[in-house]
Amino acid sequence: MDRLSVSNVYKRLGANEVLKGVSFELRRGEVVALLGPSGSGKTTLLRAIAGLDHPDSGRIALGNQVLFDSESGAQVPAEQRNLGLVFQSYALWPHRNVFDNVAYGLRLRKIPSAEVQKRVSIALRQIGLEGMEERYPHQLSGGQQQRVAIARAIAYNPQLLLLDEPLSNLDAKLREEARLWLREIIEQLQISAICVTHDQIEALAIADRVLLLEKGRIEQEGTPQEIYQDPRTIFAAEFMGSNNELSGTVVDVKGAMAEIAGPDWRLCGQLKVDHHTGEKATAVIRIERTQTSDAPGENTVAGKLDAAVYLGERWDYLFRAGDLKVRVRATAAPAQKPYWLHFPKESLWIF
Amino acid sequence: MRGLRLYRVLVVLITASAVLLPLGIVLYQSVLDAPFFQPSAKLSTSAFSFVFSDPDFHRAFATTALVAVGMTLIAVPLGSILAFLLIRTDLPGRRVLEPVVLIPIFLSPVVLAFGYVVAAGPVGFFTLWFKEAFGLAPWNVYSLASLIVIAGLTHIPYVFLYTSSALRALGADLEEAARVAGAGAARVAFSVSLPMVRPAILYSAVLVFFLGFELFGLPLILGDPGGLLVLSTYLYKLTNRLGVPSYQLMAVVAVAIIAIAFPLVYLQRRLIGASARFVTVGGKGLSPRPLRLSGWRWPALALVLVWLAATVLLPLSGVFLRAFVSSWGEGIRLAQVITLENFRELFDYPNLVRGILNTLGIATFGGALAVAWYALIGLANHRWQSGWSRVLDYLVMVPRGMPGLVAGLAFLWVFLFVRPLSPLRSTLFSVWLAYSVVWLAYGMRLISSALLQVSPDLEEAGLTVGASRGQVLRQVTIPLIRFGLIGSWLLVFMIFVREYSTGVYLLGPGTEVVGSLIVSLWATGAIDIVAALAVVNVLLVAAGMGFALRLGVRLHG
Repeated sequence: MDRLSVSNVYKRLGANEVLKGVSFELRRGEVVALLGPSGSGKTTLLRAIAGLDHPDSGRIALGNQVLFDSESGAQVPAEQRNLGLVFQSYALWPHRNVFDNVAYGLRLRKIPSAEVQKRVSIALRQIGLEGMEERYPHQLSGGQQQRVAIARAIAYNPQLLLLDEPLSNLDAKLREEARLWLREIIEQLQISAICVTHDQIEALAIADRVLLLEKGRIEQEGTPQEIYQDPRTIFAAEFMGSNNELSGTVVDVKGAMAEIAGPDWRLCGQLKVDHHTGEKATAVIRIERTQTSDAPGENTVAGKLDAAVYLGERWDYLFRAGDLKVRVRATAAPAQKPYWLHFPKESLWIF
Repeated sequence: MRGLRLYRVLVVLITASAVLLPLGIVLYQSVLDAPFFQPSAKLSTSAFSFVFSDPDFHRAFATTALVAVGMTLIAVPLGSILAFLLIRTDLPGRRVLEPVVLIPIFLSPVVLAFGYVVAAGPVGFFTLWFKEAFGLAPWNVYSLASLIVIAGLTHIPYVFLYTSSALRALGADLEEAARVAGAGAARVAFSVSLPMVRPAILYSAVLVFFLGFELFGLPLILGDPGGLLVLSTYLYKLTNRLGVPSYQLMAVVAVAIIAIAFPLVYLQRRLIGASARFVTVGGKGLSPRPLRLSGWRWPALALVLVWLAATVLLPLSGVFLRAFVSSWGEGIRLAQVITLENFRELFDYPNLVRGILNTLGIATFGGALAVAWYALIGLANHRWQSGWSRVLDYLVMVPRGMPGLVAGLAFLWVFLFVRPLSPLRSTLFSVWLAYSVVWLAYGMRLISSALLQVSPDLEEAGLTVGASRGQVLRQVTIPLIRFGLIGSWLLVFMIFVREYSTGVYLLGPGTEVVGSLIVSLWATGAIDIVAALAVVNVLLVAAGMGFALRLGVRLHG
């Protein structure tokens, strides 16, 4: 496939601006996740690329082919874009069996029936459903239906595979396996893909690059590691992972570092946005980075253990320290002893 | 508890006698050798031998079958496509068109047929104007082909009705999946949307085929001049065939019609369940995202408008034009003959004035009474865990197998046969009872769709706080279906105004209604008065429809 370029796409639905000028590029063979909460515009963006929704302005091009351009008025209908789309609901046609579902796109392309036969069985083999050709969708499990939906979308070698919340209809256990499987099949096919999801784990696991959307804008863009480990905005920091948040006042700024203080605590962390002394700010730290220790030290606050929840592989502790509530992950059962909460300064982000 | 049970049993008994008595009397009369009121009447199969050996009967049967098949072949494909265009695509003006395409259902077929005759008949308005412009008018409304085409076009709304409600429930994602895979709009329709609603299409095909056997107004007016008889018009003509009342022969024809209708009604009942089941298999995401037709938008709209012009505008404009001219024929200019005389003339005949008032009364008050009766049946049957409930279910389906003409005849006999009822024969009560029974199945569908809106939780909540079943019905269920009942009343109003065949045999001094007056006046050739009455009929229906749309009543019940 050629490079997909989306520039300045804008869409309004009534009084609601769903997309406020989104631009990004997708390189050959790359998998991009459009991640965001509901209402962020991610599905609308995907549908605009597929040709099912039409933006009010902007430009979408695939290589030399302009799919949509509000200036020239170009608008390629969905059926001529040669893309594959996996629906959240799978949208398998209940009146067709697996073979006919997968073969549909091939038949539309007037491919001879022997070739159709061959390519459907290749697609079914790739997704591990050989021998299921004659089954109807309602005779398949949720996981199998999802695989058929993917086979149907890739059977005619589309230029680009679009996935709309592909795992959200699976139960939790199956989703974990499907995540790995999906990444594996995308790599195997060497296809470019865009995956819309509200599940950060899904985005991190599947994508080479994550676009974090919020209120119709791209909030941050980067590799999964960058997005998780180096959020640029407080939204990005809060959206990913599980966090402790501390609101206070900036009391000192030292280059890239700053000190933030509350009524009875004072901590040092990395300054993520411009702040001056005396300004209100929020400190964010991932739960798994928050530590406990037995003795006071640098960047520590005395905490009182309020509750401890057993979660099998680990414990979740809930501490109270003055007006702060802090969660910590631990491996051991709680003990009757004074705790000190340690916030490593390289992991404490000040917004 | 006991009161509720008594009420339910009473409802079953009254409904059973209203439904089974006319059916029974037709069956009984068919095996007699003379009218049942003659003391000499004996059991015999002679009437059957007479009718079944009559070549006219065979011709009528063959014509009916041909018309039913032909109109099904026309109405089903076009109706399905119409439903797809209006429900699933971005056809311009589809919101406005949706109620408009249902109009032919509420127009009386005699009015429509009359409209076709005066608009496009041998000396119709458009025929003469066309001749003037092009020298010839190469069509004949009195041919079998015309009858089939007109019947087919005017029955498209029935197909639309059922196919559209199935299409509405179809997930948009299933069509979008086809779109992305490379299918254009037409391809999506034929390979995904319409196959997905196949059970609904099949149901509507059986329905239209069934309605083909019931046709009366269209063949009466369009078929007669060309000597075309169908079963219902054959039955109608039998009345004065032998000079003496040939009730036994009429009963045999009625039995023949019923014998064809019943299996079709049963088939419909089986199919309607399946049509609802199939759709729920579809994808989710009910947000109505219309399929883009792009370049096909305007040609598709043109197609819909052409159909509307042919089935609504053409006949109605004929009726209205004819009602406002004193005479019409070759060489007459419209401007010279325009008059209001036809309407003034209506008032010269007391029976016509009575007919209009009777129609209004039977539609307004009779309609309300009928809805009340349907509601009593519906409520009796509501959450009734009993075998009787099933009996009631089947009972209300029975009249579906009796076309209006047959039911009207049967009720005439009921009022002659059952002595205590005879004084009521020449009152509007007889017409009302016949109407209410003929439309029982239709009315019950309206009531049960209103009752379906009431969540069982709401009623169970009433029971758990200590109300009896009867109290829950009166204090929870009825208030909740109030709006549904008003909507049903408006729909029944329109249906009762439109009705024409049921009153034909009951027509007499005191029981005149516009529909049956048109039928009987048509035979006398009083075209001016028929046109004026037809306009009155259309305006009454339009008033009901305007009111219903204003209140937001869904015309599909």
